[in-house]
Amino acid sequence: MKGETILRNIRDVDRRFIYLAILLAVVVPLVMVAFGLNFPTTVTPEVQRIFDRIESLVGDERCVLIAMDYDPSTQPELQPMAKVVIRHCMLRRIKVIGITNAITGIGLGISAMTTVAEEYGLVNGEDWVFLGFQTPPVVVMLGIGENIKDVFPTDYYGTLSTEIPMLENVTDYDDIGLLVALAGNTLPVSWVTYAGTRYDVPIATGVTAVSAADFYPYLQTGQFIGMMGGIKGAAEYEELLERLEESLGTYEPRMAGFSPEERHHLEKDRRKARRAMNPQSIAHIVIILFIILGNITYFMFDRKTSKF
Amino acid sequence: MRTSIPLKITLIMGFLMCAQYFIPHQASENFYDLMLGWTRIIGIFALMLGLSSLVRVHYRKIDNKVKGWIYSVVTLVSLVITGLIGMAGGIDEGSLFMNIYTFIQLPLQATMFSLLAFYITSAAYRSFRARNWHASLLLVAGVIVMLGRIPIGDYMFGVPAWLTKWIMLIPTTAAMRGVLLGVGLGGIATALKIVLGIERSYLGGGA
Repeated sequence: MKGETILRNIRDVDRRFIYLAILLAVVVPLVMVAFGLNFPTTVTPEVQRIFDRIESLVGDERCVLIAMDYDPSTQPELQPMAKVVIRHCMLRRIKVIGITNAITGIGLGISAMTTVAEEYGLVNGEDWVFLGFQTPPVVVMLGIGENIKDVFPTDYYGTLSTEIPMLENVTDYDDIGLLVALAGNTLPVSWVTYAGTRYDVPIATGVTAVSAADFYPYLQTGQFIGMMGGIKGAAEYEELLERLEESLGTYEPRMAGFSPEERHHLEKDRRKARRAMNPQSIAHIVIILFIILGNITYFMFDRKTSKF
Repeated sequence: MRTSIPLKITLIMGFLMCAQYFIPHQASENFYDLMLGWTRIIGIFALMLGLSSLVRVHYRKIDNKVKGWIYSVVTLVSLVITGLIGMAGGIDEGSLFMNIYTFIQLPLQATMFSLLAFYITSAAYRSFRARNWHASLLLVAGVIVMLGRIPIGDYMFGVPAWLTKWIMLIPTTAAMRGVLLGVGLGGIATALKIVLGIERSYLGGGA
């Protein structure tokens, strides 16, 4: 009888306890990061392929076009991806063009580009450019295949595209070595349809974990050369970049130019996705535990009475 | 007249755009460029239409004092104030406009999305049951993928990464491909119906 009462209490647990458990599963690991809690990151081939593709562009005249087609709701997963890819390009002095098809993503796009450019001391218009927002997305995707300056007559700051030194030799997709489509919706598929298929530009994508399954068919066919799925994908890329910087030996000399406070802030930013893996890991385990618990009550109590 | 002209435009442009894709000629390229320009212009008008629709819907809610009308006031006031601040003070980093975006809109939207974690957990606890073998299969696959998507899945629970990858690349991709093929065929059929004037709902009510 006592066992049945316990089961009944577990089954009818107030949802606020579930919310509290998830809150703790997120907050405690975040706090634990300060005490050195860090889960190891293993790199998957789909992330490695994006990294390798960008590495292959070192010394190449072609740019990397990053479409930051996400809004604040999905930025916790996608902004670290944007930053780490931009960081990689800037470290290797590969020119970066940023655009967005999400009107509420303009602020995120410009923030990602300026933050990393300041870190590397790179100049807007010469090493990087943010062209901002244009609509509708299909026209942007097709239009870049004809002339990027027609689609974006000015950059985000209002400078005429024809007067931006970096864009002098950039006309269409032939001048793009890699297109990175970051989005929390299905826009990466549109990039494949309109840019990849028609203009044969290599495309990599970064998507939210919850939507990753939608994109695997395109990954399998090679229409995406690689994919970052959720914060884990960003964490894997961060790991690869850190290894690269260590092997190049450029990290410490560059960091020496920053004040201790700035350095602390930068280092936190560079590990953002990996730090986020801690709460994600614990939250996943808590959810699984709840599912198991729910099934125990189902098999031992509810199935007999058919209450559910 | 109101329906026949749009239908004729759709029919002619649908066939012309389809034909130009297969004609590798300068005239075809020029036509394509012209159409891209037109689509861009129409897109801007669509944006304005969306804005006017937003204002109209919320104004009506305020006017009729429907439940929650105060939120419509907040929407319209925010729209006007943010727009004015952006036009008057600029949109550069550090401007008031960008601060509104960074410190109000960004956390608000991120918070809304983050709430999903709480609801998903609660829903999973109450409904993710091994009722039959279909549900059991889904349950096991779900748990494996969830463990495979975190670094400690392999270390603590011995869930090998290849198993997660196999689930995502083979059964999931197979199912998704079936769905995508269906969506693709449906899209082609709908496009044809629109071009040929069979599907007219895009013209609005009564068409």
